[in-house]
This record gives sequence, C-alpha cells and structure tokens, in this order.
Amino acid sequence: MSARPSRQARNVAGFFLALCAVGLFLPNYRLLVVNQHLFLAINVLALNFCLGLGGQISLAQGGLAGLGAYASVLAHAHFPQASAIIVPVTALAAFGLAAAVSRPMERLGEGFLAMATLGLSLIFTNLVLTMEPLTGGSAGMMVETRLILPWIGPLSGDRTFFFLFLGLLALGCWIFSALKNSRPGRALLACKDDPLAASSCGIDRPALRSLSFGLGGAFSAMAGMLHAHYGGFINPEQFSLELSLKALLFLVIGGPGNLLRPLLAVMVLETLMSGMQFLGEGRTLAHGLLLTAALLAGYRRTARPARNTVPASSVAEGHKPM
Amino acid sequence: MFARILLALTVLALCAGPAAAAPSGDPILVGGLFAESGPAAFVGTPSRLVAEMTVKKINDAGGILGRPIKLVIHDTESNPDVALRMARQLVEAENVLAIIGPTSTGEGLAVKKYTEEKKVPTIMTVGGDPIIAGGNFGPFTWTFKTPQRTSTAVQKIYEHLKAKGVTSVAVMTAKDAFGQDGLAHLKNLAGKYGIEIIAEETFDPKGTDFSAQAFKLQAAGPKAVIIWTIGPAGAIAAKNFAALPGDKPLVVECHGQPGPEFPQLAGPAAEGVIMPATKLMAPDSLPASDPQAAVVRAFIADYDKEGIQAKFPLNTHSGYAYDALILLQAGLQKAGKADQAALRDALEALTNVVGVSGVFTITPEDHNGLSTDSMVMLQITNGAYTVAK
Repeated sequence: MSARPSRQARNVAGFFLALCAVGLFLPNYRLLVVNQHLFLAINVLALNFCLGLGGQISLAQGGLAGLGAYASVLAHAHFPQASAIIVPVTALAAFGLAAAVSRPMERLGEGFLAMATLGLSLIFTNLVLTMEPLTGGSAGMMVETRLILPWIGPLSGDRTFFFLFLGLLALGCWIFSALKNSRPGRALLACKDDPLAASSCGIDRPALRSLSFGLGGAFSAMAGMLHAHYGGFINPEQFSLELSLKALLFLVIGGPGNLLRPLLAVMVLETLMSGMQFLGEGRTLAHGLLLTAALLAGYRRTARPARNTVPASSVAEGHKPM
Repeated sequence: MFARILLALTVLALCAGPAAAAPSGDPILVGGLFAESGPAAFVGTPSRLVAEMTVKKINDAGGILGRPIKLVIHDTESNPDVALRMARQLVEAENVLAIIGPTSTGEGLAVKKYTEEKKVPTIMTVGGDPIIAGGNFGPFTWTFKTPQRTSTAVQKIYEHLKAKGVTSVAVMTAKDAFGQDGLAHLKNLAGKYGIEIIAEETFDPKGTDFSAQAFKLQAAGPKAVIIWTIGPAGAIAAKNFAALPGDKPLVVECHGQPGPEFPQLAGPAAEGVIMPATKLMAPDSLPASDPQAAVVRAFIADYDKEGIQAKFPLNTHSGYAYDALILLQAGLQKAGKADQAALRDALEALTNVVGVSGVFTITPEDHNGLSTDSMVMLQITNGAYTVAK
C-alpha cells in the first residue's frame, strides 16, 4: 500500500479546507446561508449511504431529519442539561428505526421502495400534525433550549454551528469512505450491482442494507437536531418531502456512490441559486435551467465510456473508481 | 385692472396652504420582507407594491420626523429559511430601524425569535395569531401584526350567526397552520356565543375535491358550515356543498377568502356564501361617519392610480402593508426620534390610528389592536360582494 493519500482523499481535504476558510472569514449573517446548505449536504450524504452504497432509493430523509429535530427538542424541553445523552440516544434510535424499517422494505423493488419511504415521510408529517399539543401542529414550535456539551457549555452562534455542521459532515465522509473500502462496503456495492448474484454468494442482503439505511437515518437525524437548535424554530414544512427530493436531486447530479461530487453540487448550486435574488421573477426559470444543466452534465459524465471502464486489475483488487 | 388681478393672485397665494416641506437628512431605513415568489406570492407581491406606494406618499408629504423613509426590500420566496436569512441581512448588514412583513405565518415565526432577540420592531403582515400569542410561541415584545386576529374573525362570524339564530354549526378546516389556528379559535369561542359545533372535518388545502367531508358534515344536520382555508380550496369546498342533494347548510368562509377569485372560482356555488372581511371589500357601504371611510376610499383611489389594481385586483389582504407603514409612521411621530426602543414603546401605546384594515388601539397584551368593529360580514349576491344583512 502506498503511504501517499489518494487523489480522492486530497480532494476531500481540499473541500473541507475551503469550507473552513469560508467559515472563518464570512460575516455571521452570511454564515446562516452556508449552514442551511450544510444541513442539506449532510442529508445528501445520508442518502448516499442508502442509495450510493446500498442501492436503496429513499424519500424518507426529510422525515428522519424531522424525527431527530422533534425528538431532540422535546427531550431537551424536559431535560435541558442532558444533551450529551439525548443526542447519541436520538441518533441511535434513528439508526434503529431506519434499520428496522429497511428490513421488510429490502424486498421491495426500486419503485415500490421509493413509495414506501415516501409513506414514511408522510407518516412523520401526519404524526406531527396530529400530536398538536406536543408538537405545535403545523404552526410549529419555538426552540428555547440549547445543546449543552460537557465542559464546553451551551452551544450558540453561527460560527459554532458552522463547525458543528462541518464536523458532522466530515464524520459522515470518513464513515462513508471507511465503509466503502471495507468488506461490508464491498458487499453492499455487490448488492447494488446485482442483488441476486450477491445473495447467491452468501451475502446477507437485508442485514447489510439495514446497516447502510440505518447510518443514513442516523446522519439525517443528527443534522435535524443541529438544525433545530440552531434555527430556534421548527415546523413540519422544514422536514417535508421537499427536503427528501432536494437531497435526491443533488445526489443524482453528483452521482450516487461518489463521496465528494454530490456535496460539491449542493454547496455550489445552492449558493448560486440563493444568490439569484437580483433576477426577480426570472429566478425560477434560472433555477430550472441551472439544475437541468447540472443534471445533463452529470448524465454526460456517467455516460462517458472511458470513465466507466474499470481496469481488470482494479476489479480484481476490489477497487472501483470514485 | 392690473391692480385687481394682482390682488386676486395675492389672495390666492395666501389661501393656498404651505406646501409640504421636502424631507431632508439621512433617510430612515425600513426593511421590507415580502413573499414575491412561491405559494404566498399572491399576497406578497401586491403587498410590496402597496408598501412602495405608501412610502412614496409619506415621503411626498414630508417624510417622518422631517426625514425621508427608505424601504429596503427582499423577497422571502415564501420560505421560512430565506425569510430568516433576509431578516438577518436587513438587521446586520443594512442596519434597518424596523421591519415590515413577512407575509406568511411560517415565515413570521421563523423571523420572530431573531427579531425579538435583536430587539428590532417588526410589524408583520401575517394572518396567523401565533406570532403574537405568547406562551409556547415565545414573547412578542417587539412583534406587532396588522391583519385581524383569527379570533376576531371567528367572533365576527359567531356574532352574525347568533343574530341570525343559528346555534348548530359544522366546521371544515384545512390541515395547515392557518386551518388549525382557525379550528382552535372556533372551538374555544363557540360556547361564549351559545353555538354548538356538532361535526368537524379536516382537509388538505392542496386537494381538489372535498365531497366526502361535505357529505359527512351535511349528514350531521348543521344550520351552517364554517370553512377555514385560504386559496382555491375554499371555492372547491363551496362547490362541493352546492352539489349535495337535500337541504344545504349556510356556507360561511373565513376572512382569508374575500377577493375577486372566490366568486370566479366557485361560480353559481358562491351565491349566498357569507364571510367576514375588512372594510376594503365594501367601501360603498361605509357611512360618512365611519372613521375609516375616507382612508379606505383614498387607498382604493391610490391603488387604482398606481396601476396595482390592473395587476392584482383588490382583495381583503391588500391593505396590510399600508397599515404596517401607517403604524410605523404614527409610532415614530409619537416616539419623536428614530430609535428602536422608543419606537417599540410608542407602537405599544398607539390609540385610534385609522388604517385600511381598521382603527388600531394597541396595548401591551394586544399587539394587533383591532376589534370586530373593523370587519364587515359580506354575502355574495349575483356574483358580487354585498354587505350581509
């Protein structure tokens, strides 16, 4: 093995260094928009665990992020000092829930799976609306509590949350990368490419896919928790199907299974789109054209035969181009 | 002869009052948050035009405290996240004294926590009550709103129904924040007016048919059914009730509906439907003694003159941005200086400020300041709005 970091590792490091520079020098009110994009980027990465690794399309990312947000806010309302317990327990619960629902859904074909996960998102929204005394219904609820870390104290401020979002994204990238290059990761990729062949080779498909689905759920939930305590106000609209669809859109633009490109797509395209206010009524058209161009560029890139040709030696070693 | 003409000209010159002094000095910066795109754009875009029209009028009349008003406007895209982003830009980069808007309740709630913490007087044009409800929705020390409270509209409906001898009603409310807010107040206030809610149903405001809910509610036998939603869903529900066989209940729409679209969309089903509205929708019915009569008529004339009527025909929401700026003007004049804390204190103590939506008397407990007197009950007769008898 070479001691030199791979090209992908260098690219990821460059991406995070560039973001760090942005976080250090932007004024506070401009960081708000970066943090909102980072929240979406974490959800794209979470979906990448499901779709990019496990090959399972999911429209539940919004619901899972909302679950994390509401669970954390409600738990903090009763135990305001217990962030160190609430955050990991909520993330674990989201992991467990996503993994549990993934098992029966694993048998569903792509279209049916998308519908089932869409159902999960709608169930979440309806639960929030129905449990109005607890959740505030569709009006939402103010978040008066803060995340409190032991020895550090309450977390507040744009820059603090910028680095929290960035840290969570970096953790997700590291786990994604490590998982992808591990034995279960390769088994997941095998399930994605040919589920039947993978099963016939003795791979426990439901168990593996529940792992990737669970990880995706946990990351979405953690992003939701940060988003809730950062913004100070939550309502079901913030975690609606639109969030899931946006995550899917940027993952498709960047290419499922690729670590960096979907995240770059989120940060660059969302920044461009949020800077188009000066176009006035023409903005919607410009957004549409930009996203269409990005999708076409993504399609042309994946359709290029040269990029998809895997050297025989590489396949033999279990590597795939990033 | 020449002397007579000179004398006449002198008299004329003396009779003509002094022209309004042109405002001078640094402009007073006021932020404007309007949903100019997205689902709330049908309210937000005309609100922006009305705000610009009103600022021009204020500046032409000498500004406020002798200084011109400068409106710094941003589009919130009907999105709470964007609304918060724009509010922060207004406060932290553009250093506005106060904010007018945003347009929707979700945006208002997203902005409110920040403007409360930063102590920025914010006069919102949102329909929902939560922004000034307190309790779980946080303090509202720096937050005011110009549209009537939901509870005011509910009371207006109940007053009318009680006078008509209607005691049993059914309610059909949208599953969104606006509908839930309406349902809560309809339930809370029914007892006070001796009205019993005998059936209730909810619906998705994006739906295209509510026949099932209409059928169930009619089967319960209410004298009237109150439909609480904004947008086309209200007209669809009215059509669904009109299509039912047998005795039909009186259809009552909420205060979000009055506008040219409702009778157009509902067609013959709109006949006889009643709803509470601002007096803007019934200018001809206002007696000369009504303090709002002159203001409402002048507003409608300006709205037409500026060409807004041609693009966005007048509806019940049209005057909210005007009222927000009139309150701001009254507050600044009362405060005597362009200072945020002084402005807030002055806004909270305003009495009898005549606006388009009503006569505002604000108190620390009531940051809206409008009563049921600010509304009229309208009925649709031959496709046109008339005052319900």
